[in-house]
Amino acid sequence: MTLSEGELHTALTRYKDLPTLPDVVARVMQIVSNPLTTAEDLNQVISLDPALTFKILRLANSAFYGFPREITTITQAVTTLGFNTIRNLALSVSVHKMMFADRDRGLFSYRDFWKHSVAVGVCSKILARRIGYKNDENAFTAGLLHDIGKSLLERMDHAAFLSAIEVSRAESRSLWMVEQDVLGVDHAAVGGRLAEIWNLSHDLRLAIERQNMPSSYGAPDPLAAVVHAANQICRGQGLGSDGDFGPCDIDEGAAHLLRLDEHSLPEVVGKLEGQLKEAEEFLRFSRGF
Amino acid sequence: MDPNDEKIGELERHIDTLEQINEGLRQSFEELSQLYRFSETIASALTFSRVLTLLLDVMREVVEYDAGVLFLYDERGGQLRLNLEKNVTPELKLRFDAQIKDGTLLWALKQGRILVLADTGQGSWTQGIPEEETGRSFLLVPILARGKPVGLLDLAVSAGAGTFSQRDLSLLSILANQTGISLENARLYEAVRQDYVDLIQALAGAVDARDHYTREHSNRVSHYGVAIARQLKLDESFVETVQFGGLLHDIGKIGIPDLILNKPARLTNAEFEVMKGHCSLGAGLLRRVESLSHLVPLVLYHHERFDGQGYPEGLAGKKIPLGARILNVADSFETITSDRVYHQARSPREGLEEIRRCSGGQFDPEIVAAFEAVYEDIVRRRDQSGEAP
Repeated sequence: MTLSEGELHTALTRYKDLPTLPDVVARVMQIVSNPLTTAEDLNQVISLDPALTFKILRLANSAFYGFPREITTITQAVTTLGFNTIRNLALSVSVHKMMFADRDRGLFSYRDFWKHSVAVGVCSKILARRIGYKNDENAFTAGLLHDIGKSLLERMDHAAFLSAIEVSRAESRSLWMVEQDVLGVDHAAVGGRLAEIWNLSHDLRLAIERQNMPSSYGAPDPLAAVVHAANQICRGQGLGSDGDFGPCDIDEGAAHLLRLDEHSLPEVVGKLEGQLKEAEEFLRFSRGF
Repeated sequence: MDPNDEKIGELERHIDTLEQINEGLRQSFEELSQLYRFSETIASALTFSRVLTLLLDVMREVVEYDAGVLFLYDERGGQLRLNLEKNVTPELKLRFDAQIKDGTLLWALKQGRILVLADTGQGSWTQGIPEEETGRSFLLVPILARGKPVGLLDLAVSAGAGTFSQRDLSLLSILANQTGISLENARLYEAVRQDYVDLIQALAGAVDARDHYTREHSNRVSHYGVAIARQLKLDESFVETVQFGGLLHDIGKIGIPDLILNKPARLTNAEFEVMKGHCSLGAGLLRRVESLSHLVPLVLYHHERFDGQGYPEGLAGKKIPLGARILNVADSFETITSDRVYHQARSPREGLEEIRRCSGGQFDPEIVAAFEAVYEDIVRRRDQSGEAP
């Protein structure tokens, strides 16, 4: 079941003051959408934030990208990895800081939660590449950020969110369904709302919003299908933890679109193991860098 | 402040914005039409190498590069191989080599996205030496066809790496993608074309195999015909028609009984009548194949004589198709100068005399004149090929 616009609106009025992106990142999002922007323009904006600059350079030089030379400036990072990648890195770094900062909250460990998110990001990138999706960088970011709604729910109403997790575990029901019962809203809908406020690209927003039932909106959106399947695969593999104790089945329409079956699935899982090691640098986020 | 002034100020700002938008649109339009022209140019090339040459030329109009190198991707070896280079100085050569050696180019190819590499002088980034950027950079443009890597264009430009806008880069990407498609098309075209030529060679070989005295005959007639056609300054597509017509002119002999075809003595009149049938037999075969049907006039009429005394129809003068008149001279010269069941090979000089003697009779004098002009060349090449009698 999906929430109507009205139901979502009513539910969200309880959540005032939704978190906003830091100025630097908001500015990055804005100037990357202008085709006349150069790498130097982007450098000028990002360099204003030394911590962000440092983290982006660490990631840009990590095994995840595997560029053979050392990248020492944001300008080089942009011209090497692309505008889109640097924008996504800036976004991921600050969203992590805002929404995933290390703190253990009883049943819900942010460390495991981030580990899950990184795994879904990596797996999304693999699935996107397999079907020749035009932008596998966005797939990675969509996977990385697909559960921002959960952070918001936890921060806004910690007790209710934890009880939703309890119910999910006791009844082996999907967390998003329980969330709707307990909180009147689910993490996908809330996450989609955040994506909208943050001006994330349309495909990212759809992927976050439709991650749980990609086929219930008609033909599945490719990125939503990718994130959905990646999420289920990573849950099935026990990579990190996301507080969801429902089934790990992959939606049929999504599996079909992604050409996933019992033969291709092990191949994806095999790749995932290898590439997760390369994404180590993203996990260091939660160890305070 | 006067409310009118305020309104005017607001209006002026609006006009400014509109002008900016308009300027942006005008630029976009110009770029699009430029891009379209370039794509058209590249798409017009039919061969692989032509597409690549055009790409280097066209790129020069999109981005002013100082030097450029084009690599092709060797899928089996997983390596990039140099294909073309333009204005590469020894100093730049070192840079290009370093980019291959440390894997930067292969990395760029794998990303399938344009990369701009700042040139940091002699020092290497990997050594962690903070080098001054030289203000020069390299544009690494991967060329993909249907998502698969085909090659990479590496352009040295006199501009800092950070000065290219997203639009500049996407313009180059679009052009590179277009090139990828054109390369794929050219590859397909060349493959089909090669099949076509192979097929013609195989057919020609089938005739020569039956008649061991005429081994290499079809090949030589084809070569002589081409030399004459070129001398007559005929366009390349017609030269090719003569080339293939030469190869297939005797294809009808496939249908002539062995006893007649390989008879070790002069043919009787009745046998000769059967032999004459090879022209229409051959024409009949080729007519059924769409892509070979343009050769029919050459095959059907290559035994017509300029004075109208030939066969099968007794056409005379310019009524005989040009290609057939050319092949008639080429065929006769080849036959005279080769061993046959009924005669010993005569020398090229004697062959030439015979052709001259029959100018205006059996042969079109214009063709004979062209033949005389290329005679030396023909004989020299024939001797070099080691097939001389």
